[in-house]
Amino acid sequence: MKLKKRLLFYRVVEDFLSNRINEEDALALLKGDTELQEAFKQYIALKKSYSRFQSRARPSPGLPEKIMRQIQAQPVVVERAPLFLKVYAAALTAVLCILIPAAIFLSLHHQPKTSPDVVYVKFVLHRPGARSVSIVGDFNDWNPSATPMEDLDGDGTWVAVVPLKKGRYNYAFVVNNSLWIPDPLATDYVKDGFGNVNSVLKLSYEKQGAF
Amino acid sequence: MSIDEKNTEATELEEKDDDFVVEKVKQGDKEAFGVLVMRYHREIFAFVRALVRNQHTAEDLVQETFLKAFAHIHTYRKGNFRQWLYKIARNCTIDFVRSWNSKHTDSIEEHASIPDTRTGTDPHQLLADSELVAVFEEALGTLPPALQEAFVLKHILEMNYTEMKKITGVPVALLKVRVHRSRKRLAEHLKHFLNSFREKAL
Repeated sequence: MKLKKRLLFYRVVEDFLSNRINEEDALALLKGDTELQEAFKQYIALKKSYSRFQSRARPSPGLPEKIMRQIQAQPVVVERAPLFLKVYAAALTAVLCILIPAAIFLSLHHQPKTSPDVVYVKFVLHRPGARSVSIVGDFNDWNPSATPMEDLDGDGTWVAVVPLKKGRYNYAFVVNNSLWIPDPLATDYVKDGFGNVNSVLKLSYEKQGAF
Repeated sequence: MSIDEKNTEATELEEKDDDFVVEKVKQGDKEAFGVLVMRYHREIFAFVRALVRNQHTAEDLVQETFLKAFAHIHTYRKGNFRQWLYKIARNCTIDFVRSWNSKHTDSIEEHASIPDTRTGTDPHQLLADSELVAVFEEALGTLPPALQEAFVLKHILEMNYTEMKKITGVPVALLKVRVHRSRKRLAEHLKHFLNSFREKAL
């Protein structure tokens, strides 16, 4: 089929299938060309078949009621925007009230809070370009997937806060799940007997700077 | 509230636009959701029915669509509820077809029941409506899903390309190509079928 003929043909098909012209008009436009008229008959059959489909594809009359019965069984989720906001705001305030002082306090690297049982120790490692960093130590059975560190703002400073009880802990960082390195900011180091060096953290609840 | 008052309220709601009704639903009015179900279940059904070619599965998917819409109504932002609903229906259908295909080695066409009443038919008698529909569904089932979807949205649901783009996320130019291809292939398929039908009948 020549290009001009083809373009005419598909325009007629388009108009016919999109209900802009009817069968007679379409055939009239293709008049004088039996090849095109013959080819067009396929499209008449196509339109007929899908129009039948259109008119026959009907859901069961009871479908809306069936849906609504299920909807009725669903829990009501009422959105009360102001209340929602209040709840969020309250939760956020509470979290900030705890986190901000904690962050200020803990930002002085490794200095444990003088609380009776558990203190939250913030570990920091500057390692730009690392895909992942986690911390391993006596407190998590040296399991590299137990305590992943996070670099939320992507500045290369990886952070993890670990709740610890009083005591002495050996630990190390695991970079990209393979490289074990000591903490450059640790106050003490110890050989692990396998050729590596671990960092040491001593936690006591006496005066800060006790270690 | 008396039953009459309730009915009046429901009738009033039927005249409101989608976003107004959705607001009611968001405020906890489950009945209001019924207005949306009534408004859209037929076309959503036609959409899904064409793609899965089975009445029961299509009804299940329509149900799933509306249940999901209800459960996530708070995530709907004012704009076009109908399109939002179509997107949900589309996702439900895609999930269904995927899991169906992974469970069944035979393709989804097997799912459609095509009555074969061709033998012994009077050659001059036209195909009965139900047969013609079955032939169309069979033909549609032979197309790749992307072509099926383009054809169904364009010709069964008579949408324009802008709407189609919003629902599928596929660019208009590509949709046009798909619609064109789907028509061509469907027409070919129908021609073959009708020819073989005539031969058989003769």
